[in-house]
Amino acid sequence: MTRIFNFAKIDFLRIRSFKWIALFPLLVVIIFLTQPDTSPLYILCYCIFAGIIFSTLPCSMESATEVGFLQMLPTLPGEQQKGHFLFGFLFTLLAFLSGLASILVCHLLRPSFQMFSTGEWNLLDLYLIILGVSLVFVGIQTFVLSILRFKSAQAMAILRMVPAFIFLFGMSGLFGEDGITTDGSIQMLSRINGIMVLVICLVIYLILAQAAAVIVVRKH
Amino acid sequence: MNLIEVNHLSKSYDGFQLQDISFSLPAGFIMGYVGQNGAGKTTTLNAMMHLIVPDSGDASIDGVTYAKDPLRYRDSIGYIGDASFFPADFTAMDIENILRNFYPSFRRDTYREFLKKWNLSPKKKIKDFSRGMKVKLMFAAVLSRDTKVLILDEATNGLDPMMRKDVLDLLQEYICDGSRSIIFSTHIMEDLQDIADYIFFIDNGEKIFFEPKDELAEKFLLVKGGPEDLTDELKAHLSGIEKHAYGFTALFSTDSDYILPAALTTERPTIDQIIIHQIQERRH
Repeated sequence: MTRIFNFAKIDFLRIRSFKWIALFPLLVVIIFLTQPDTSPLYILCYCIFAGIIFSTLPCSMESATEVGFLQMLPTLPGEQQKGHFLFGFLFTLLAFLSGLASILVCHLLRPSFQMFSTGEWNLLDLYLIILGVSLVFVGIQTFVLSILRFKSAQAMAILRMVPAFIFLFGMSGLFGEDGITTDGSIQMLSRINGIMVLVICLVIYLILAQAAAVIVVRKH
Repeated sequence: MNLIEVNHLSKSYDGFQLQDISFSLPAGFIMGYVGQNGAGKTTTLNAMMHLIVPDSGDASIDGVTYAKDPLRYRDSIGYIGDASFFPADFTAMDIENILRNFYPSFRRDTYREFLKKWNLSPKKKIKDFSRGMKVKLMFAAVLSRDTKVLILDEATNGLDPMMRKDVLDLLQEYICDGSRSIIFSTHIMEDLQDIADYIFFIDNGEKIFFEPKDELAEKFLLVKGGPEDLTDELKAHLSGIEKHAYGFTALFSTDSDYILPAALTTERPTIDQIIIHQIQERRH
């Protein structure tokens, strides 16, 4: 486990030059403060949108020569891939927490801005559902990048960007423009539990991580 | 027991086949691994390090194979290639942190001493290092931990003479305690002439010979003569005949009973000359 964690640390080192990502939640806060009727769901979704795109950045940055250095480290087969998944999980979690922090800032600056409840709905369940769904997106992206090598930079960019947009527009379609106004989201909230969805999504994420490790080892 | 044992390594690609490569190297010795571009040197080394999976065969270091203990196997190897394999945006300090996390035997003090000795800035990005600095960083990384085998894959290519001398001195220091060995793949035969104990020659994926260097030099004579000296009888006892405007050069095996004509000039061949004439012979 320590080695997997150390591989995740290497991924964090790789994106060090992209520190400006940390300003993204601030930008989201500024935009949404100018739109008083915005649901907090979208602040969270936009922060996670950025998280989905950047969670696979280290995987896409590996060059052929660098792969040799990492492969030669004394590790068990598949641990490098699991490190990428651990990074993806931690980065998505960071994006989620930054989204919550942005919602908190909006609430502090404008008390009428709802944070955890709209009066009718407990938003925390929805936040957990959003986190769970985003983990599945990140998991699938990381899985594909682990088992396929893309020579084309355009193909790589498409793979990294498209899922994030599907996530964002999907969430928008599910919840409605003003948040929890669609029949779909109302029915969903009345039936399912956010924690249960998160746990299921985490299990899917772990299965994807293990599958990627096994496939890469077999391919190698 | 030999420190390095390579047994029947084979690997096939489209248009190329590494065939049944075997050798053993005792501790305290340097093996020069030579052959033309595309002969299979890097494929052999990658298979040994398990960066590619061989179709058959295996390699062991100090009795340990990759299958038996991948962690210990990889920990015992230090590798230096012709290009820096560190992520370009990392610094020497980043490399230190990675090595410290993955290699239990990594010594931070030794690593920093090397950085200081070679004027390698810990905070400068590796992509901004010169070629010589990148090679020095690779050496610093490898020599700061306990390895049993050093594998160099054309690591001295493109280095200036002073830097090459420094590298060769480092290699001699590495094996001086008699417990470690080096496999040195290179095109620069002068380097091997100075430091190699054994020579492994590979051509088109096939092992041609594996001999102690000094014995290799004793096995052949380099024969030179004029065009009129190259009779059919003589040709039958020579290998790798190279014809020039003013005559020919060729290899003559000292095992042969044939007595060379007095008109010919003979001398001890260098490794370079042996290799070139062997390749010449295989082409014909």
